[in-house]
Amino acid sequence: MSRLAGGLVTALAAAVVLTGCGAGGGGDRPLVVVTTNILGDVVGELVGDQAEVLTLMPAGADPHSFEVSAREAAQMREADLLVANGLGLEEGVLAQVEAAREDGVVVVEAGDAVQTVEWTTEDDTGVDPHFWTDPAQVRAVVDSVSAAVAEHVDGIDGDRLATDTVAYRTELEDLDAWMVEQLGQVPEPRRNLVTNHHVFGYLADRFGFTVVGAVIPSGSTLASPSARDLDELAGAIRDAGVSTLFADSSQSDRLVQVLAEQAGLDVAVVPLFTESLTPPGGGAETYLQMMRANTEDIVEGLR
Amino acid sequence: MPHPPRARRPRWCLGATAALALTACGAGPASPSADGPPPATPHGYVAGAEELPEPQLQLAYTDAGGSAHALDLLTGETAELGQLGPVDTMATDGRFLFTTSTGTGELTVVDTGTWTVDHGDHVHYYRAPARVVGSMTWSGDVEAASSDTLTALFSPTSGTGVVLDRAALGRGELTELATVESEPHQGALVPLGNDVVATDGTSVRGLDADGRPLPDAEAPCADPRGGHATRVGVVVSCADGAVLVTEADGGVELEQIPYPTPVAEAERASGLDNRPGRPSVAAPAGTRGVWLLDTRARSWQLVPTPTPWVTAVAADDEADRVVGVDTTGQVVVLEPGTGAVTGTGPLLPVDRLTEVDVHVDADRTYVNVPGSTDLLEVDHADGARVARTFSAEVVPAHLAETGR
Repeated sequence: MSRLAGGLVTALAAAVVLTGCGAGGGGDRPLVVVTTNILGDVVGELVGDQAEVLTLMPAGADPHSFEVSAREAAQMREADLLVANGLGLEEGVLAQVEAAREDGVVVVEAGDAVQTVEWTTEDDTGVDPHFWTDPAQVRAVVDSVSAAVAEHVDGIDGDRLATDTVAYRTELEDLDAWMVEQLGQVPEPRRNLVTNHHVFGYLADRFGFTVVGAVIPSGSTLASPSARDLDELAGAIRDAGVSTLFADSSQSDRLVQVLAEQAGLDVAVVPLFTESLTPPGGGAETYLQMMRANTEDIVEGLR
Repeated sequence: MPHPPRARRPRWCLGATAALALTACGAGPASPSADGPPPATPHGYVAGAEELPEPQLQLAYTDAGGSAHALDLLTGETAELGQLGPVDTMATDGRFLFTTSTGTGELTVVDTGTWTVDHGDHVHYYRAPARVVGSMTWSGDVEAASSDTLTALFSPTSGTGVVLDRAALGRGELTELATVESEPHQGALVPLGNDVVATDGTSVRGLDADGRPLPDAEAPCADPRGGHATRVGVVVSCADGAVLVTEADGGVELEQIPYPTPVAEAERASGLDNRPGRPSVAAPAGTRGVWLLDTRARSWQLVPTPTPWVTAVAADDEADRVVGVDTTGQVVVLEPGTGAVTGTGPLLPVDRLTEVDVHVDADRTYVNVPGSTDLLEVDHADGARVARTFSAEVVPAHLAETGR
């Protein structure tokens, strides 16, 4: 797939954005600006059409590196509330978030409500900003954002907000219970995510999985590989006792073939949704859909 | 049992930010109406830039006449980058090419369109259209290096360096932030975060992006022989060892890493080089072997080799391998722990070894063969096996690897 997909994303993103403007159409509604599209979806569930929710990060983009236009930056500074992920995630819009804060815009950072986990590498550590892979963390964020909306956004019907918050919270609880039940079907010795995705620390922490960081041989290596090129990955897969590799690779077919030929491994390569919702039809249009799709793939891959 | 791999997650597309501007749609209190003027190009917008799941490695090369091409190492396909005019020297920072011509007195910048951004716990890989960015007045050879925000160019010939805004370069603009003057010497100008490390004939200094000296950021360094960025900081080769500059709270810190024993002029580490993003750097030690400087451990190691090396690059992998070219015309691989050396056998013309450019990434090493269109891909972790041989469109006089 894929070279075509980039253009498709652009076209669909344009479409989704335009339709987003249709409902309500009120120029008088308060404005809530949200940085990432995962949080944008969550905030939209809470405020419904009581406020205009402007999500800055396009569908399919990278939260670490997306940037905003001058016009969007201006809107951030005029927002009734600005919701950000925080924990160092949105590096590209950090300056604009701070500028808005200095202008007196109330900024609520989701990360403040999160019980954080750390990532570590050979020579560095840091706070993992990808809290959404654990729905319990998202529940805490929902409480925090809902309280901030109630306190800081004028013209919101508090009763409706409370009702909608409880309703979404219930959906998160259902998701959580379902994930516990689903992921519980994976036999304990196989609760290993061999992956080059870097966002599943919270999920692993919560549901008793281990993230095994894997380096996927690059396309330039796969062209003329030696057994050594696959040593590390094959070893990780064998040690983990799994037959599914959760990874992005532009050459998944070739990787599967090479692992079979060079390392005698019969594995599937399955990508997961990580840091962004997709345009309509992409399989992760909402946070809940993204989590359910990933859970299903993990269970199917490891069961 | 293996179900077909599903690449269902669409490729990320930075271009989508253009569409986003339409969200204004008259909602906010003072937001412009939907039928207002078309949105301005968002800051940082790169037409068609995509994020991809793996390094978009390319071999970029030019002949002496400036016919520049890029070979995609994933697909094996070649694209023309442009006709740059005469090229005497070329440098790269892993994305851009910087070529110089004494004849025209100019430096030309080419965006090869593939690059990597390191976020500490993970890495992002990008691809955008390649293009010739532009030219500026230049005297002599060029060395180039970049941080996320800055690009620094240095001419050992003139002693002059220039600091450029790297984000602007990505947008196709040459924006000069500072000029750093010194006397002609084999020095360095290398970005370190939002600052730069500069040399003159006798010292290493930390400067801000505008070229102003940082407080308490100077260390003696007799007769510098180039500098290089590592995972840890920026290291400069000096007569008595090295000076390591690291980012510190609100500034930089300089420390000396002396040679274990005094080193003769001819055996000094000159032209320290490594696989980008690794802590160790290497250089030939005259005819004695190879210098390995671990900037994390702050230690030098001289590893003897059976043949003298002309070039040495620290791959710094699980076996701490060093890759280079020796005087017999082989690509050679040293494992310092055992002293074992493997080689490709003689493949390079021994009278033109200084024209061989050696580029090492996580898995492979790439070299040009002077006088030939051959570009060699060597598997340095597998007994210096030649994995692939590519045929270039022209005879490469200069070779760079980008996208890493």
